[in-house]
Amino acid sequence: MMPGWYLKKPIGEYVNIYAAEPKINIEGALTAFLCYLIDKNLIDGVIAAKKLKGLEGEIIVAKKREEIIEAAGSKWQVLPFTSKLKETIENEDLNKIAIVGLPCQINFLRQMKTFPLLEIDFSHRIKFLISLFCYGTFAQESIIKHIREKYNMDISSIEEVKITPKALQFIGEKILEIPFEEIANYLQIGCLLCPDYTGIASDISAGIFEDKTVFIARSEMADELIKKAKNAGYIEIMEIGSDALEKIEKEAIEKINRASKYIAKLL
Amino acid sequence: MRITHVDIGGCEGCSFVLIRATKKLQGIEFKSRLLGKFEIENEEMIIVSGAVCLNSEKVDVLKELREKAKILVAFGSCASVGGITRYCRGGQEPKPEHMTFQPINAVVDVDYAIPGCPPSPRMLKPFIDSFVSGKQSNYMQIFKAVAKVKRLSGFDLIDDVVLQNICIGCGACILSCPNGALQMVGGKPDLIVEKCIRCGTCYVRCPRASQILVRRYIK
Repeated sequence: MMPGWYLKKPIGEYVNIYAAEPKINIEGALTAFLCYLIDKNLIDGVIAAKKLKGLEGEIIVAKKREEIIEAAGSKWQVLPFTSKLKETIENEDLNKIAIVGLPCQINFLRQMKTFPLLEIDFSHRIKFLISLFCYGTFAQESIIKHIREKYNMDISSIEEVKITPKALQFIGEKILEIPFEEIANYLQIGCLLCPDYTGIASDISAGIFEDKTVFIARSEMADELIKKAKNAGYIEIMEIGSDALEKIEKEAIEKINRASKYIAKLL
Repeated sequence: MRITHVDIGGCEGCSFVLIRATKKLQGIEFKSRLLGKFEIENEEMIIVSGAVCLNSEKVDVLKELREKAKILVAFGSCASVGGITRYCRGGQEPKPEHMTFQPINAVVDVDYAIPGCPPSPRMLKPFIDSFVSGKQSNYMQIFKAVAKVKRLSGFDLIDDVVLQNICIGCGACILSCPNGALQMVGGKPDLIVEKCIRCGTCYVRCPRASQILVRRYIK
């Protein structure tokens, strides 16, 4: 909540950290893990963001393996929870859902789960909160205009956004690299105030770090599930080296410092 | 733990929630003025529901409650932030006589304020547990911060978050409005003003607004 408080534990409390990779024929360790949960009937639905085209996307409720696979990949934007989403959950009477979201959304859902302030809260239907690592999300219109005007690239052709150590890579009709310093101007201001890189309120945080998927298990239950998914042959988990851990913490600290700077201006 | 409840003016929705919820709490000794008269002694925790009318004897009642309570909790939106009683201006049908309803922190210092219209019975257990166990979740800071503000509503959410351009468009507020007063327009929330009951739930649920609330009021 407060950047100072965050600094003590930049990536939050956790039980174990792993580097993971999929063992079934699916791209992405998180997708494979979610497939495990749904195949073994541990959850009855996943709420995740699905890419439509370019940087556009929508929130979906995936109940089958195929639907989960379709939603894989990073999005670089916040897709809002809507009242329709809640209706879908309630109409279809889903009682064990996993929600994959950004740290801000997971923070809100954890608050709802800890203190269900309203009768309309559906927190009792949520089983897992999975947060993705988040550097920030784009102010949609501005980034589209910037990429179009400066680099003459059609944003709707973008298939994938990748992070390299110093830049963001937009892969579409061509491959475009924009350095972080330049991209920072096109992040939403609200994201610049956010001190949470990994989603410390989640059960599991997952993110791509240097081409590896990193899983942070924040509870014994989450840790056990990751191990079970490994034993069932869905994912492979490895020790994450102290180097990589240090780098993730460094990223997290940078985000906290960025938040402190911006929030001081606002107050 | 001993908990005493006093309602000082409202629709009684919060009172019913308290009576309903505390029945299921073990190890709690709960007394409510609604269930019979009794003298208030020095109490561990006093929970007040309802907004206070500044032109009434309730002001003195409230001051006395503050003196006797180790922890004073404002329960529900009216007691915390004014809630729907903010719209009272006297002379309206069905004629509330008073026009000067305010949240109780307009009269006394409050330790924790829980918004919600009404807060759900499910939320009382984790709240009380955090005192019994001594382990406070970080989200408790929000209730401490709300105790310091005099108003929170969809209007404030729009002013402080959307118009300041720090909204990230996550949709937390949309899912937190009990009255469907918020809708997404162009990726950002928009308030249907006639529907906002000023309960403040959207504000405490917004990741940015709650962050700023805590930063501003909790040292």
